[in-house]
Amino acid sequence: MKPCKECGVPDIVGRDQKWSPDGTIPIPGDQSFRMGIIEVPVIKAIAARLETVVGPSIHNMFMEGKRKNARHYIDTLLKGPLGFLVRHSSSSGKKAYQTLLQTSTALGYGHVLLEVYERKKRVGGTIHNQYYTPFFVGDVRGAFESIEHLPSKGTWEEKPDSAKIMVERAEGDDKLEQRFVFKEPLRLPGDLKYTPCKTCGLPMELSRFKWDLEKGTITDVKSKERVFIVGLNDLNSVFLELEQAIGDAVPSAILDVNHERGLELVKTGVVTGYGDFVRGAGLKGYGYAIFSGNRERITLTVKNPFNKNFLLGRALGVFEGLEGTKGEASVKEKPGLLEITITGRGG
Amino acid sequence: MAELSEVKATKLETNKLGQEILEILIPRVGAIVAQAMLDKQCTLVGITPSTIRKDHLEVLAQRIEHVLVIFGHDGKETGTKIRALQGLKG
Repeated sequence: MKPCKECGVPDIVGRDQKWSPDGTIPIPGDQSFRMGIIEVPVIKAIAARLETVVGPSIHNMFMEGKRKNARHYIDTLLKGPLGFLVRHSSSSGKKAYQTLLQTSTALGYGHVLLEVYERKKRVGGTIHNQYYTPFFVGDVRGAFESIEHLPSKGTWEEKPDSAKIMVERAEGDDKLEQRFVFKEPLRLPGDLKYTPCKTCGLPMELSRFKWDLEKGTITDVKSKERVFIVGLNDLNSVFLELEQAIGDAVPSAILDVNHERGLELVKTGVVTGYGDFVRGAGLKGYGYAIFSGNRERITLTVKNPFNKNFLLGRALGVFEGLEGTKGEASVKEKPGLLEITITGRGG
Repeated sequence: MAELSEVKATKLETNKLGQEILEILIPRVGAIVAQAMLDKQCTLVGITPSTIRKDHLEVLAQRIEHVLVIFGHDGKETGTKIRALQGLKG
């Protein structure tokens, strides 16, 4: 794994993700599986907010959402002879975990040390600079389930700068196998254009992110915040399942956290106009956004939106930050399309 | 219109059956989730926690059993208790 000399993006990132003109970042093995770049403080704030409602079980839910999608992601990477080799040889199995951990380093998940591996029994280690441990345990469970073809259970012990994790073979029925599943709706085409890096071909715009492959971190140079690359289906699977269980508290949490985020993006100068917001949305895989309107009323049309409340909250915060007035938003939705209209309340 | 919100532990209005269901749920998931869960599952059935009738209990029991699994509970015991409210007087 090495960073591109020109744009700085690790080669593994370009191998496993494609920045599409439709505002999404699908993985090559499954176009319906989309990735996104999320700010670490945002996911932590959403989890904390939901924890106040749901309690600590929210973290297990995030782990569950992650593990199934991680398993699918790894299944697509381990197709064919490679998968056969990995799944039938102890040394290849261990090597596969190490390679996947390298991948997770490039996705900004932290620096991971594999400390325990017993084929078909358990895998464990320590993650340093963890971003949100339940997600990472979900990743390792997904890897275990893909490589070992066995159900798993996961535990972790959180420390200030690291976490010990252990994933083991689980006995009995997997009651959550059919849960935390999110099917991406119809994908609409787009013509979003990036400036290709002359060396690796990835969008040159990604150079606003700085990879530290020793620490396993990615920093947005514009906001100076840590970000990570995650399966957006993973997040939506948890949001959807939880909303079906307890209702409005879930979309409210997502909306509120992103409203605050939108205000913050303007306050810190990361977003200085709607164009920044629109370009940032595509680059981060949130969808293909088009802005129209004036200072009193704006309309943001997003093809292939990642999540309605995530985008609505952000758009409202950005509007209020830029215009210095409270906004009122209305939303229209069609399959694959979200239209947000925001009107200033004045004052 | 989008409204920003605060998460509040407001008391849910219920009838007697709704209150009985809450009393079954609260020890398992706490008061906030129990109220939110009952409210949401009633909405999905097309009723409110104030209009639950005995003939709604079976479908509510099924839904709550299904939902409790994601909170790490085996919902069957809870479902059985909710169904048993069929025998409640009044």
